[in-house]
Amino acid sequence: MDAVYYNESKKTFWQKVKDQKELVFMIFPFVLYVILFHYIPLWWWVIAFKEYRPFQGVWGSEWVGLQQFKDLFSDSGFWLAMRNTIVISFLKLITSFAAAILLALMLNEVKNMLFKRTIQTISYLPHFVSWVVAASIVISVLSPESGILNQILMSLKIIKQPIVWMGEGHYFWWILALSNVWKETGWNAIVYLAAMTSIDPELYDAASVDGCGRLQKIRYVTLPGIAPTISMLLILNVGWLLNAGFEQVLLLRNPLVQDYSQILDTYVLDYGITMYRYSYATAAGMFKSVVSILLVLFANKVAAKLNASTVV
Amino acid sequence: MKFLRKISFFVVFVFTISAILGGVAPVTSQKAEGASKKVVTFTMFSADATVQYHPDIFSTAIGQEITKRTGVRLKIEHFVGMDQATKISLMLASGDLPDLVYGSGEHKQFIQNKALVPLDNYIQKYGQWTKKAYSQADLRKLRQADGHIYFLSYTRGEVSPSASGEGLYVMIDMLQKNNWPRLKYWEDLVPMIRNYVKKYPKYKGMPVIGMSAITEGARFYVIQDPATGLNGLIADTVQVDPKTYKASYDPAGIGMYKAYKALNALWNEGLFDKEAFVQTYDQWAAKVAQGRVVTSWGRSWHFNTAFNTLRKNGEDDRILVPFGIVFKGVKKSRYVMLQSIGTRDGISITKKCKDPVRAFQFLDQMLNPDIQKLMFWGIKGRDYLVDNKGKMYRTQAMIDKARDPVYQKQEGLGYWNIWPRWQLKLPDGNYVKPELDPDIAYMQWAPAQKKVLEAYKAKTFVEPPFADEPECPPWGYAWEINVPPEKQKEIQVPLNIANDLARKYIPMLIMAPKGKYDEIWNKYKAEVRAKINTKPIEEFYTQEMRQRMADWYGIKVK
Repeated sequence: MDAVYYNESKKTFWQKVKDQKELVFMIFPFVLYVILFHYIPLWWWVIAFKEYRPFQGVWGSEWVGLQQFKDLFSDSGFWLAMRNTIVISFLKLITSFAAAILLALMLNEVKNMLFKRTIQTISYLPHFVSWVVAASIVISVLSPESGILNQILMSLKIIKQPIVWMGEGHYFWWILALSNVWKETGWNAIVYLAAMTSIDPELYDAASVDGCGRLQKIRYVTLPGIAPTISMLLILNVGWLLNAGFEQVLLLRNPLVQDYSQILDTYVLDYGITMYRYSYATAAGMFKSVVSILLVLFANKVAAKLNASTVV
Repeated sequence: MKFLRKISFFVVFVFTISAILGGVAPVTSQKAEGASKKVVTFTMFSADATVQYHPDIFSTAIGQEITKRTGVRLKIEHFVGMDQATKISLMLASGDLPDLVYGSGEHKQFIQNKALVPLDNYIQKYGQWTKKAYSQADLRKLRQADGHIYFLSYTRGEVSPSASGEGLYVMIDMLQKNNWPRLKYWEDLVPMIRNYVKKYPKYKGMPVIGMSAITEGARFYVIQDPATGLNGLIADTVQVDPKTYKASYDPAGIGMYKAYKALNALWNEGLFDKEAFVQTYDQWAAKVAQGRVVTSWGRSWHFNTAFNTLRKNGEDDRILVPFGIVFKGVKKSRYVMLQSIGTRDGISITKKCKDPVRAFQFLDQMLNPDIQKLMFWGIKGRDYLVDNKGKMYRTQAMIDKARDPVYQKQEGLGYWNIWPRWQLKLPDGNYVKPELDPDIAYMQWAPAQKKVLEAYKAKTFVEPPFADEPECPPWGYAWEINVPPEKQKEIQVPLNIANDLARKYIPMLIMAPKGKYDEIWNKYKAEVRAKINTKPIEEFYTQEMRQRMADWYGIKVK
């Protein structure tokens, strides 16, 4: 009996494959791609437990066990980078979420299509500018002597002396968050606008009949309508919480704000790769990945408890 | 449906084929190219970031001539940006190396990771020109820790009369208005800056800056120069006692306290650039090019483009010239130092090279005096002339032409600085490079620069009163010493941490409010003492220095 059952199940599987062979073939290159570029590199994690030297090869290098992790966790620089990463990420997450939702809500209320389209286009244009360009714009706008921000504040008599915006650690965190808002809000708002179009217009009519004003309609119809989108994006973004924006920080940082600008990615670069400590860099990267996975699972759990959409 | 099915099969087919071929194709085409022509093509990577690079140097007039004579063509990939270490680190990890390689400041990594071919045997067998251009003593210095030679150094220990010098750069206009003072001491310079800025607070409507500096990213070392320079020390990782060859290392030494206190005083007077620590390198260069920086810290090569702009705009009296400024009481300035032979880097052949013998023969051919003339002087009749005594010279027109970036690019002039070369003169008595010839060197200065030289009765900017007699530490430089990988954690990591602390505190020290300087200094000192164990670092460098003295000169110190 068992054998028959086994055979039958095997048969059905191959039968299924045969039936869908076109689909299987079509998916094949992409599966290959994922295996090649997303799973095989994971094998290199093994060097986190070694003292890797390129000429000795992965297997020739000496095993050191958890030494790299011990070094990592006993380095105060690492914990400083950790603190900055988390703070910067949180600031960016909160500001970019709030700004994108706010912009989407406001654009949704605009009935003049030409105006709406124009604003939308203008607001998402900075998304296509690379950070290299964006960073030099930010630096020159904020520069003490020639920067436009200081000039405006001075001519409005709000400040007497130009402020060195880029020179103060706490400002720097906000500069990261707000420049991110400037660059990405328009782009992030698109997905919410799309979600809003799928809300049934009858709900708005019903709300009108019930005597809702504009703000109340936003509060009771639009926001609940996009709630699943918000929660899904939130979960996905929590996974990126330890990525505080490598390029942005690398291009905007300067020696004055060193203690506030060192994030995990720049730490890996400064104390790992540029010092040829491949294993150390891998250990730090591995730690980051593991924490990220845990964060996603945690956020997912919370979302499930709140009865909203989940990802995993 | 059938049509769709066919399409999908086709798509999959194309994907798979292209994926498989993608990895193989370039190799086959390269081989085919090599076989069809007689000319051998080598690939090369160059991390030389100090000069403008040429997109394809072997397509220029000079490059083609070199190919004709050597039968070799190079395909050179250039490093762009500031972070060589990242690029080279990833290159080594991937194992994807070119035939020839020049790693600049990170060259040691190729050696330590055993990626290079030792040249010793090749020099014995094929090095007919190498043995003439490099003496036995030279080759001894080029031996690395493992006893092998991996490159032929291009630094050859001459003072170039055309070098714009090193030191604290001071604007010509201020010198002229002060009737060409003989500047040597910091204490004399400061009142001069103060008066000048007070008298001329604006230039073309923009504020004049008393003193500026480069602080961005990897160029941060510029703002570390005052600590050594003003105190008459060599700008090196460690300071070496010339008698015992004992190295001492102190990231919070007493000289530093004095130097930054002096800069701090300038800051509190409003004479130091308010944007110094938040500006990018380009912003700094723009200020210099606008002619509103009175004095600035920086190394000669940082100023080139800005000076060219000033010269083009006819504002050459706003160009800055270097002075070896020191504190009163310091006997000698040591901004201009000689490097007898660079033990750090040069062009090497990698183990991935298809034909290392041919590659070395090419390097050796490059030392042929005829090719040396091609590389550095250009093409005879067009870029230089020869008088009836056989002396090579250039007319003023040729000098001006050779300064023009467009012409340089088209001709291929001025892109060969990392190649092995003869020391000072070729066997026929001509200078290896035109800029080493004092006559040519003088002719290339801008009118205002010539006026400065005249006023101070000097021929170059590397002699008094601009600089003291350059010297050459017999032990070379500590920054050229390769820290072996197993000592990385003990030596290199603390050095990096010290550097990070300096990055954090130097700006704070300079910008300290009145009366707060000592407080910040004490904090800095305490943090350095707590975080960095200098003993292993000193021991390591002492041992290395003594080893060098023994290897190079047979001097043994116990």
